[in-house]
Amino acid sequence: MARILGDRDVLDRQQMEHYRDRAESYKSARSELVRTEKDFATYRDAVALLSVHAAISLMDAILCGFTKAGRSRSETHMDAVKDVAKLCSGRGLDDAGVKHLRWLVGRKSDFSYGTRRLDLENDVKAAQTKVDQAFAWAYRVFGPIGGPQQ
Amino acid sequence: MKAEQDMATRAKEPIAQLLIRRLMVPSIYFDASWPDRSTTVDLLAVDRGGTGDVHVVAIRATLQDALVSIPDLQAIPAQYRWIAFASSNREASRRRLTRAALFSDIGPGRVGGICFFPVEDGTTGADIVIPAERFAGSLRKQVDRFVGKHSADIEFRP
Repeated sequence: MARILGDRDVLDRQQMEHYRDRAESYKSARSELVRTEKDFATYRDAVALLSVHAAISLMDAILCGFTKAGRSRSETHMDAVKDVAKLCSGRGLDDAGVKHLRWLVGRKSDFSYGTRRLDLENDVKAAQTKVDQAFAWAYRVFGPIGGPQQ
Repeated sequence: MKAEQDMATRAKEPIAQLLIRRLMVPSIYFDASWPDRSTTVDLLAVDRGGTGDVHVVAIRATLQDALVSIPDLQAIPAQYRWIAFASSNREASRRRLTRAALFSDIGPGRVGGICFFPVEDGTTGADIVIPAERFAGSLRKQVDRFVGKHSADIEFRP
Protein backbone atom coordinates (compact mmCIF):
# COMPACT_ATOMS: atom_id res chain seq x y z
CA MET A 1 0.00 0.00 0.00
CA ALA A 2 1.35 3.41 -0.98
CA ARG A 3 2.35 5.81 1.76
CA ILE A 4 0.38 8.88 2.73
CA LEU A 5 2.26 11.88 4.04
CA GLY A 6 1.29 13.41 7.39
CA ASP A 7 1.83 16.55 9.42
CA ARG A 8 5.35 15.53 10.40
CA ASP A 9 6.40 15.40 6.74
CA VAL A 10 5.63 19.07 6.10
CA LEU A 11 8.70 21.25 5.54
CA ASP A 12 7.20 24.66 4.77
CA ARG A 13 3.59 24.85 5.90
CA GLN A 14 3.20 28.57 5.26
CA GLN A 15 4.22 28.37 1.61
CA MET A 16 2.34 25.13 1.10
CA GLU A 17 -0.87 26.74 2.34
CA HIS A 18 -0.21 29.89 0.35
CA TYR A 19 -0.04 27.95 -2.92
CA ARG A 20 -2.84 25.61 -1.85
CA ASP A 21 -5.08 28.63 -1.31
CA ARG A 22 -4.09 29.98 -4.72
CA ALA A 23 -4.84 26.63 -6.37
CA GLU A 24 -8.23 26.47 -4.67
CA SER A 25 -8.94 30.06 -5.67
CA TYR A 26 -8.43 29.21 -9.37
CA LYS A 27 -10.55 26.11 -9.01
CA SER A 28 -13.33 27.96 -7.20
CA ALA A 29 -13.35 30.66 -9.88
CA ARG A 30 -13.73 27.96 -12.50
CA SER A 31 -16.61 26.41 -10.56
CA GLU A 32 -18.32 29.78 -10.27
CA LEU A 33 -18.18 30.20 -14.04
CA VAL A 34 -19.80 26.89 -14.84
CA ARG A 35 -23.30 26.72 -13.42
CA THR A 36 -25.05 25.31 -16.47
CA GLU A 37 -24.06 23.24 -19.47
CA LYS A 38 -24.20 26.36 -21.62
CA ASP A 39 -21.53 28.01 -19.48
CA PHE A 40 -18.94 25.54 -20.75
CA ALA A 41 -19.28 27.07 -24.20
CA THR A 42 -19.46 30.66 -22.99
CA TYR A 43 -16.38 30.41 -20.77
CA ARG A 44 -14.51 27.62 -22.52
CA ASP A 45 -11.11 29.33 -22.63
CA ALA A 46 -11.33 30.63 -19.07
CA VAL A 47 -12.38 27.23 -17.71
CA ALA A 48 -9.51 25.49 -19.46
CA LEU A 49 -6.87 28.01 -18.42
CA LEU A 50 -8.07 28.27 -14.81
CA SER A 51 -7.80 24.49 -14.62
CA VAL A 52 -4.19 24.64 -15.80
CA HIS A 53 -3.29 27.38 -13.34
CA ALA A 54 -4.98 25.49 -10.50
CA ALA A 55 -2.78 22.51 -11.36
CA ILE A 56 0.39 24.62 -11.45
CA SER A 57 -0.35 26.14 -8.04
CA LEU A 58 -1.23 22.72 -6.66
CA MET A 59 2.20 21.47 -7.74
CA ASP A 60 3.82 24.50 -6.07
CA ALA A 61 1.94 23.64 -2.85
CA ILE A 62 3.12 20.03 -2.97
CA LEU A 63 6.73 20.94 -3.69
CA CYS A 64 6.86 23.68 -1.01
CA GLY A 65 5.24 21.42 1.52
CA PHE A 66 7.23 18.28 0.99
CA THR A 67 10.57 19.01 -0.69
CA LYS A 68 13.62 20.89 0.57
CA ALA A 69 14.02 22.62 -2.78
CA GLY A 70 10.49 24.04 -2.67
CA ARG A 71 8.61 25.12 -5.77
CA SER A 72 10.22 24.73 -9.14
CA ARG A 73 12.17 27.78 -10.37
CA SER A 74 12.38 26.41 -13.88
CA GLU A 75 10.96 28.41 -16.78
CA THR A 76 9.25 25.22 -17.89
CA HIS A 77 6.28 24.11 -15.82
CA MET A 78 6.79 20.56 -17.04
CA ASP A 79 9.88 20.47 -14.81
CA ALA A 80 7.59 20.89 -11.82
CA VAL A 81 5.62 17.87 -12.97
CA LYS A 82 8.89 15.93 -13.09
CA ASP A 83 9.75 17.13 -9.58
CA VAL A 84 6.38 15.94 -8.26
CA ALA A 85 6.83 12.58 -9.99
CA LYS A 86 10.30 12.31 -8.46
CA LEU A 87 8.90 13.10 -5.02
CA CYS A 88 6.33 10.33 -5.41
CA SER A 89 8.78 7.71 -6.60
CA GLY A 90 11.38 8.71 -4.00
CA ARG A 91 8.96 8.49 -1.07
CA GLY A 92 6.92 5.51 -2.29
CA LEU A 93 3.77 7.58 -2.84
CA ASP A 94 0.82 6.88 -5.12
CA ASP A 95 1.53 8.86 -8.31
CA ALA A 96 -1.92 8.57 -9.88
CA GLY A 97 -2.33 12.34 -10.04
CA VAL A 98 0.90 12.99 -11.93
CA LYS A 99 -0.58 12.02 -15.29
CA HIS A 100 -3.36 14.56 -14.80
CA LEU A 101 -0.88 17.29 -13.91
CA ARG A 102 1.19 16.37 -16.99
CA TRP A 103 -1.89 16.53 -19.22
CA LEU A 104 -2.86 19.96 -17.92
CA VAL A 105 0.60 21.51 -17.96
CA GLY A 106 1.22 20.07 -21.42
CA ARG A 107 -1.70 22.10 -22.75
CA LYS A 108 -0.89 25.41 -21.10
CA SER A 109 0.49 27.08 -24.22
CA ASP A 110 -2.26 25.72 -26.43
CA PHE A 111 -4.98 26.87 -24.03
CA SER A 112 -3.31 30.27 -23.57
CA TYR A 113 -2.10 31.18 -27.04
CA GLY A 114 -3.25 28.46 -29.44
CA THR A 115 -4.91 29.41 -32.71
CA ARG A 116 -7.55 26.68 -32.66
CA ARG A 117 -10.94 26.86 -30.95
CA LEU A 118 -10.98 24.63 -27.87
CA ASP A 119 -13.15 21.55 -28.07
CA LEU A 120 -15.80 21.42 -25.35
CA GLU A 121 -15.42 17.73 -24.56
CA ASN A 122 -11.78 16.96 -25.28
CA ASP A 123 -10.28 20.19 -23.99
CA VAL A 124 -12.62 22.10 -21.66
CA LYS A 125 -14.50 19.35 -19.84
CA ALA A 126 -11.42 17.15 -19.88
CA ALA A 127 -9.41 19.93 -18.21
CA GLN A 128 -12.08 20.27 -15.54
CA THR A 129 -12.12 16.52 -14.89
CA LYS A 130 -8.33 16.27 -14.84
CA VAL A 131 -7.90 19.05 -12.32
CA ASP A 132 -10.63 17.60 -10.08
CA GLN A 133 -8.83 14.26 -10.18
CA ALA A 134 -5.50 15.91 -9.41
CA PHE A 135 -6.98 17.67 -6.38
CA ALA A 136 -8.61 14.48 -5.11
CA TRP A 137 -5.28 12.71 -5.40
CA ALA A 138 -3.32 15.51 -3.71
CA TYR A 139 -5.68 15.71 -0.72
CA ARG A 140 -5.43 11.95 -0.31
CA VAL A 141 -1.67 11.48 -0.68
CA PHE A 142 -0.40 14.76 0.78
CA GLY A 143 -2.83 14.81 3.70
CA PRO A 144 -1.70 18.06 5.38
CA ILE A 145 -2.28 20.00 2.17
CA GLY A 146 -5.96 20.01 3.13
CA GLY A 147 -5.26 21.37 6.63
CA PRO A 148 -5.51 23.11 8.95
CA GLN A 149 -9.25 23.49 8.69
CA GLN A 150 -9.91 20.66 11.16
CA MET B 1 -47.75 18.49 0.26
CA LYS B 2 -47.16 15.32 -1.75
CA ALA B 3 -45.51 17.38 -4.49
CA GLU B 4 -43.21 19.05 -1.96
CA GLN B 5 -42.34 15.67 -0.45
CA ASP B 6 -41.46 14.33 -3.89
CA MET B 7 -39.36 17.37 -4.58
CA ALA B 8 -37.55 16.93 -1.27
CA THR B 9 -36.61 13.41 -2.35
CA ARG B 10 -35.38 14.66 -5.70
CA ALA B 11 -33.54 17.60 -4.13
CA LYS B 12 -30.58 15.51 -2.92
CA GLU B 13 -28.87 15.54 -6.28
CA PRO B 14 -29.14 19.30 -6.98
CA ILE B 15 -28.10 20.06 -3.40
CA ALA B 16 -25.09 17.78 -3.86
CA GLN B 17 -24.22 19.62 -7.08
CA LEU B 18 -24.54 22.94 -5.28
CA LEU B 19 -22.06 21.79 -2.63
CA ILE B 20 -19.72 20.33 -5.25
CA ARG B 21 -19.57 23.76 -6.87
CA ARG B 22 -18.74 25.46 -3.56
CA LEU B 23 -16.38 22.89 -2.07
CA MET B 24 -13.14 21.22 -3.17
CA VAL B 25 -13.83 17.78 -4.68
CA PRO B 26 -16.07 16.74 -1.75
CA SER B 27 -17.11 13.16 -1.07
CA ILE B 28 -20.92 13.04 -0.86
CA TYR B 29 -22.98 10.51 1.08
CA PHE B 30 -26.77 10.27 0.91
CA ASP B 31 -28.75 9.07 3.94
CA ALA B 32 -25.55 8.73 5.90
CA SER B 33 -25.28 7.23 9.38
CA TRP B 34 -23.48 10.14 10.99
CA PRO B 35 -21.92 10.44 13.49
CA ASP B 36 -23.02 6.89 14.33
CA ARG B 37 -25.69 4.39 13.41
CA SER B 38 -28.26 6.01 15.69
CA THR B 39 -28.56 9.10 13.50
CA THR B 40 -29.14 9.41 9.77
CA VAL B 41 -28.49 12.66 7.93
CA ASP B 42 -30.04 13.28 4.52
CA LEU B 43 -26.78 14.40 2.98
CA LEU B 44 -23.22 14.44 4.26
CA ALA B 45 -20.36 16.08 2.37
CA VAL B 46 -16.73 15.78 3.43
CA ASP B 47 -14.66 18.50 1.82
CA ARG B 48 -11.23 18.08 0.20
CA GLY B 49 -11.69 14.59 -1.09
CA GLY B 50 -12.94 13.18 2.21
CA THR B 51 -10.20 14.74 4.33
CA GLY B 52 -11.70 18.11 5.24
CA ASP B 53 -14.61 19.82 6.91
CA VAL B 54 -17.93 18.04 7.37
CA HIS B 55 -21.13 19.52 5.93
CA VAL B 56 -24.47 18.00 6.93
CA VAL B 57 -27.73 18.87 5.21
CA ALA B 58 -31.19 18.18 6.64
CA ILE B 59 -33.69 18.22 3.77
CA ARG B 60 -37.32 19.01 4.58
CA ALA B 61 -40.39 19.42 2.38
CA THR B 62 -41.40 22.83 3.70
CA LEU B 63 -39.89 25.80 5.48
CA GLN B 64 -42.14 25.07 8.46
CA ASP B 65 -40.74 21.54 8.72
CA ALA B 66 -37.26 22.97 8.35
CA LEU B 67 -37.73 25.40 11.22
CA VAL B 68 -38.88 22.58 13.49
CA SER B 69 -35.78 20.54 12.57
CA ILE B 70 -33.16 23.16 13.39
CA PRO B 71 -32.65 22.20 17.08
CA ASP B 72 -31.98 18.58 16.04
CA LEU B 73 -29.59 19.76 13.35
CA GLN B 74 -27.73 21.87 15.91
CA ALA B 75 -26.98 18.68 17.86
CA ILE B 76 -25.25 16.93 14.94
CA PRO B 77 -21.46 17.27 14.93
CA ALA B 78 -20.35 19.04 11.76
CA GLN B 79 -18.33 22.11 10.88
CA TYR B 80 -21.10 23.27 8.55
CA ARG B 81 -24.82 22.62 9.05
CA TRP B 82 -27.43 23.32 6.42
CA ILE B 83 -31.21 23.18 6.43
CA ALA B 84 -32.85 22.71 3.03
CA PHE B 85 -36.52 23.16 2.12
CA ALA B 86 -38.80 23.68 -0.86
CA SER B 87 -39.53 27.30 -1.66
CA SER B 88 -40.17 29.34 -4.74
CA ASN B 89 -39.85 32.63 -2.89
CA ARG B 90 -36.23 32.96 -1.85
CA GLU B 91 -36.50 36.38 -0.25
CA ALA B 92 -39.52 35.54 1.92
CA SER B 93 -37.86 32.28 2.99
CA ARG B 94 -34.64 34.05 3.83
CA ARG B 95 -36.45 36.64 5.96
CA ARG B 96 -38.35 33.98 7.88
CA LEU B 97 -35.28 31.79 8.34
CA THR B 98 -33.20 34.65 9.76
CA ARG B 99 -35.65 34.86 12.68
CA ALA B 100 -34.90 31.24 13.64
CA ALA B 101 -32.19 30.15 16.08
CA LEU B 102 -29.48 29.57 13.51
CA PHE B 103 -26.47 30.54 15.62
CA SER B 104 -24.48 28.32 17.95
CA ASP B 105 -25.12 28.92 21.65
CA ILE B 106 -21.54 28.28 22.64
CA GLY B 107 -19.27 29.75 19.98
CA PRO B 108 -18.94 30.48 16.30
CA GLY B 109 -21.23 28.83 13.76
CA ARG B 110 -24.52 29.48 12.00
CA VAL B 111 -26.84 27.05 10.26
CA GLY B 112 -27.12 27.88 6.57
CA GLY B 113 -30.26 27.74 4.47
CA ILE B 114 -30.74 26.13 1.07
CA CYS B 115 -33.97 26.31 -0.88
CA PHE B 116 -34.93 24.03 -3.73
CA PHE B 117 -37.51 24.66 -6.39
CA PRO B 118 -38.89 23.29 -9.65
CA VAL B 119 -37.15 24.48 -12.81
CA GLU B 120 -38.86 25.05 -16.16
CA ASP B 121 -37.24 22.01 -17.75
CA GLY B 122 -38.83 19.74 -15.14
CA THR B 123 -35.71 19.35 -13.03
CA THR B 124 -35.12 20.64 -9.49
CA GLY B 125 -32.82 23.55 -8.74
CA ALA B 126 -31.15 24.47 -5.44
CA ASP B 127 -29.67 27.69 -4.17
CA ILE B 128 -28.28 29.12 -0.96
CA VAL B 129 -30.51 31.61 0.84
CA ILE B 130 -28.31 32.01 3.93
CA PRO B 131 -24.64 31.01 3.90
CA ALA B 132 -23.57 28.67 6.68
CA GLU B 133 -20.83 29.78 9.05
CA ARG B 134 -18.29 27.33 10.38
CA PHE B 135 -18.86 25.67 13.74
CA ALA B 136 -15.79 25.02 15.87
CA GLY B 137 -14.27 21.63 16.60
CA SER B 138 -12.16 18.89 15.11
CA LEU B 139 -13.87 15.81 13.70
CA ARG B 140 -10.78 14.29 12.12
CA LYS B 141 -11.00 10.93 13.89
CA GLN B 142 -14.72 10.50 13.22
CA VAL B 143 -14.23 11.52 9.58
CA ASP B 144 -11.37 9.09 9.03
CA ARG B 145 -13.40 6.29 10.56
CA PHE B 146 -16.52 7.15 8.55
CA VAL B 147 -14.71 7.54 5.21
CA GLY B 148 -12.88 4.28 5.81
CA LYS B 149 -16.10 2.36 6.40
CA HIS B 150 -18.51 3.87 3.87
CA SER B 151 -18.58 4.21 0.10
CA ALA B 152 -19.43 7.68 -1.13
CA ASP B 153 -22.41 8.17 -3.44
CA ILE B 154 -20.47 10.86 -5.29
CA GLU B 155 -16.70 11.12 -5.15
CA PHE B 156 -13.77 12.29 -7.21
CA ARG B 157 -11.22 9.59 -7.89
CA PRO B 158 -7.64 10.28 -8.98
